[in-house]
Amino acid sequence: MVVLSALSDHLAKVLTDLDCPTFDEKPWIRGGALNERRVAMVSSAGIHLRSDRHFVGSDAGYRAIPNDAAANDIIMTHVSPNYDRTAFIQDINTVLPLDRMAELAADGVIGSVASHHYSFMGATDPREMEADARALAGRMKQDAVDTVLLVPV
Amino acid sequence: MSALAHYLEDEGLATTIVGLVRLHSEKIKPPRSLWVEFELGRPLGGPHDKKTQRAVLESALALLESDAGPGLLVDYPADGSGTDPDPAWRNPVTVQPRTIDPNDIGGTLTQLLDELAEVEPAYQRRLADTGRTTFGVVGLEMRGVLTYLMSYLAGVPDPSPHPDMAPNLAMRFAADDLKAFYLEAATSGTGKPSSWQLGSWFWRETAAGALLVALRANTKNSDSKSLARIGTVFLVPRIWVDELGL
Repeated sequence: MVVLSALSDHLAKVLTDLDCPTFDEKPWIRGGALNERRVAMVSSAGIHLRSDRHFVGSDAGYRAIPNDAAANDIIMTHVSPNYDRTAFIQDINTVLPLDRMAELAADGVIGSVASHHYSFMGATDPREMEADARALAGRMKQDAVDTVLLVPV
Repeated sequence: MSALAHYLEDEGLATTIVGLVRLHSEKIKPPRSLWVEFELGRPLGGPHDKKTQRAVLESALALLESDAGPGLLVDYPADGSGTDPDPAWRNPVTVQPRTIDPNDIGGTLTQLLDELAEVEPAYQRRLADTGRTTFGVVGLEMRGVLTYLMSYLAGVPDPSPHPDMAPNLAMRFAADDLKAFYLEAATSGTGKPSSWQLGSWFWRETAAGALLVALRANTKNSDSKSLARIGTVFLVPRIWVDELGL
């Protein structure tokens, strides 16, 4: 579990000392009913299609993953070895819950699932991701997405 | 991810996060965040735990219907999902004790190939059962992965297997593939081993784990800053560096 006191001293210090960005603006978008929303997912796991570019160095970009991608087509090239990968290798849903989101849509909990989901590589300073993230928002809107679930690792 | 939520929300999209590090949510204050007490790397809980995965998702999505924001931070009820060791788990792979000797490259490669012969049936069985592998990052088959890593142990690295991939980067990806191959084999049976159980087997019992430890020792003082950084930071998880006293 991620209670900092339960981690190794090294990792706890890294996470505690991480230079986190702060924001003066506090955006707050009110949406419609949950069962009418179209939801995309954004992961920081550094995952992508096998055919896509690997994450290298402090890559601040994102990779698109089709909602109907087969789990076998998704690999991980995140730079860090310091988080558990044994869950990901056993079940894609622990990192990118494609099956669970499909079930939520089928059950009418959400309106629909986006045609694509996206992954960044979370070891990169998020401030360097800003331009790509804002551009990604436009791409999502073209897919009629109005809601984003972010899933870090 | 909390910063990404700011950017996306600022662009007009409603966001909600499944957050793993509460301190970061407290500092960055994304619009909506559900804090889960799961291990880093498993934000939805343990593998194949459909009930928990769905519950976490529903809890995170429910924040979208709350008026208590921006900066809404809610704790998901702690349940330790997927973190406790499974005492009933039996590793379906049995490997013989072997030695990694940087002064005997040919002999060590033979040892690794012998171990691979013990591991591969479980890997293939799991692949046939699930239709999925995460192996294949560096683009070499498993024997090629071992040969490539051994060239680094010998101090005479082979050329990169890909023209657009730097050799040292290929070495890191090969190490990732090695770990994935073995851990997939170890999860080919029944039971729900924790990450610690799986890591204990790989790092304490396998020649593959010992190879990466030896590579770390060989490369961390390299004149190549790239190789030294990869060797020091990216081959062996820090928790196992500490646990093994490296």
